[in-house]
Amino acid sequence: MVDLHHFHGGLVLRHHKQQSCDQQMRPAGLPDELLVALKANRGHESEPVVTVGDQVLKGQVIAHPIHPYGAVFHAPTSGTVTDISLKNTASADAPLAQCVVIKPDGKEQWLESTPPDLPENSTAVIARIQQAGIIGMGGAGFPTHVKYQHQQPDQETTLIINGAECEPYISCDERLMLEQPNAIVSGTHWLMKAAGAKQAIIAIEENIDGVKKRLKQEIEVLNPQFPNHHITVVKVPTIYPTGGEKQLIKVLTGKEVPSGQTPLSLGVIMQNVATAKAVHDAIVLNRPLLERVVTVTGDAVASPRNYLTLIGTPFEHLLQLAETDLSQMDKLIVGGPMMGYAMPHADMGVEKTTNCLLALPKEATKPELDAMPCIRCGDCVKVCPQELLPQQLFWYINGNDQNQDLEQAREHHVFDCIECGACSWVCPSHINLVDFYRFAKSELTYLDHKKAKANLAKQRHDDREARLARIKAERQAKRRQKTATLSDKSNAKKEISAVLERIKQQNNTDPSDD
Amino acid sequence: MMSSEWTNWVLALGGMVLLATAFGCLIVWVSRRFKVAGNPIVEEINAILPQTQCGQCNYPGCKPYAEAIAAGEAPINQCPPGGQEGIKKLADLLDLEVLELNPENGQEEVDQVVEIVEPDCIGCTKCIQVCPVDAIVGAAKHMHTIILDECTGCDLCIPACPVDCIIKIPAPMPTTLQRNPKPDLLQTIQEAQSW
Repeated sequence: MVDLHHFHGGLVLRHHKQQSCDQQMRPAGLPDELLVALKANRGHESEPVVTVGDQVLKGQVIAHPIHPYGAVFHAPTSGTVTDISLKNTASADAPLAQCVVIKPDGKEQWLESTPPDLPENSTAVIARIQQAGIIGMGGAGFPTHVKYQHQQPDQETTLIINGAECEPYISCDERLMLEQPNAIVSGTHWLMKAAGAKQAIIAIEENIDGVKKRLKQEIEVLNPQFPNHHITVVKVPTIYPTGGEKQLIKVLTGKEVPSGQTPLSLGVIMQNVATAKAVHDAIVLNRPLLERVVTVTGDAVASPRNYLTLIGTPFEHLLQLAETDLSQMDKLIVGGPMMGYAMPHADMGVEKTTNCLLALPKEATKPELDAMPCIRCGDCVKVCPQELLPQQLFWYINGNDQNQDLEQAREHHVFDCIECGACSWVCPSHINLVDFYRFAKSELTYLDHKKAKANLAKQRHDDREARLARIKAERQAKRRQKTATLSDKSNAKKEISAVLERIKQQNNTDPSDD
Repeated sequence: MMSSEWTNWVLALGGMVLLATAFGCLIVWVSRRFKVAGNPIVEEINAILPQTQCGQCNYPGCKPYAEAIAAGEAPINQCPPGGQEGIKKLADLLDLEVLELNPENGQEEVDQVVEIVEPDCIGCTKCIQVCPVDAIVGAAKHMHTIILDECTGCDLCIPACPVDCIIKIPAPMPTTLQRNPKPDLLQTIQEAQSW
């Protein structure tokens, strides 16, 4: 049995999961068109390898990454590519990114390939994960294979499978654990093989019933196949944000991930349950990441439910399936109510990281009150799960005496903020604190970029100056040497006679030339 | 009696001379070992300047302008690429009054670089010769091109081009870099009470 610890702060929220989780998962079917956004992790884009008009088969690669943190994308179904253009995508502020639009032909024709043997060693497993285009499906979208490429050679690694979805409303992970425990446990085994880990923990929230038993049964079933692997299932308390990577590690191990480092520095790798299922699909069933479970819920939705959805399915299609009253809907949120982002319209596709669509009517959303001055009550400090000083960060970012001091914010670890929104939730002055931290992070990143560019320019300018000085010095030295040679009498004579000799020779040969 | 007093004198004097020599050597060693090359304030000013090397300040580069500021020969408001933010930082560093950017030196522009309209380029190498950061590649009578990541947007190549084939474009930014606007807040109690 694992001893559990507590992280600092956090909130106890009503979870609103029942509505969608009580229903059986259903396939969302084929929409009229699929909008596959070619981006992973924080905007790392991929380059399309298909052109408009191409016929694609289900599972065919349509884009390759151009950055190591990008991902491979596959056609979610067979059909025709009708458009490749910039479209709004489902993350903060709906940024524009390359999207491939596919019109399905309805045949669901798979790209034919001979199923390869099950991978023998860790490198082969990692390669298969990379080829399948798997990225972290809990929300951050970090490419899964990269986590296993940065391991220290003989480091003891523990794998944690995160099934503790702590945000209200979202139930896709819970439903997946209830319906496909076999795939999750099998995926966990393959991930352990990739990491060379002997220990794995599947963490679930204590308020969900039946899941632990099912997972345990599957662990028993699969144990003979992987005799060295030891998997435990642990229930963790339901406090928001327990499901955060750093918080869950603290709860399970009592250790804190050092600032600016990854969990790997503690010998921990964390994956979402949906990622584990995707790994099972990729390795055992030889299918790339083409679909995921999406919760469609919220008070404007008549029949909330989880849908097994093809990547790229437009939000409109899902909202229609769940009988959403669009006239009632005030906000469409991607993700949960705490960390999700409101979307300007529903004409965008489900991404690999889209876990929930939340359609809320006016009554259910917090009224938009103007933010009042900070009274430094310190409520935000009490709830911050990262043990930061939100009010102090705010003081530097907002600017006291008109002096914005973002560098001070950096020193107060604004980059360690996980944007969970607990501070904004409790703020009595209705300040959207997280917006300020997101502004500070983006602005600091921009300033760093400019600083790096200035340093490069300085380096290149200095190098150029040095080169010009060197060329000038060399030329001068050459001239000086020439002068020195000529000022010596005997040398000068020799030089003159040599020149005369040359002229004579030329004169002799000239007539024959004519 | 007399002789012992003399010995004391000699000993004391000798001791003093020895100590003085020892400390003298120490001072010489320290001054050589920890010698500061150049004026440190110049480096600090230069670190604030944007390193565009555009010469809009009327000095042939950022370092010469930094030297002029340090010597008190130039005011701090002559750097358009640094903008008002840069002037504020310089004022903070040197404890000077914050000035408005001198319009004679140019207007503040953010994140601009230049690009060669390649079909029009005649391969004269004139732009290569004036580029302060070696950001242009090309050879005589061959098309030139600009390394966008290394271009500082100093615009020195624009007047050098005899066929006007160099144009300004917004600087390419990494796709991961997305600037968020600063949210609003009612700053004072009075402001808050009025709604």
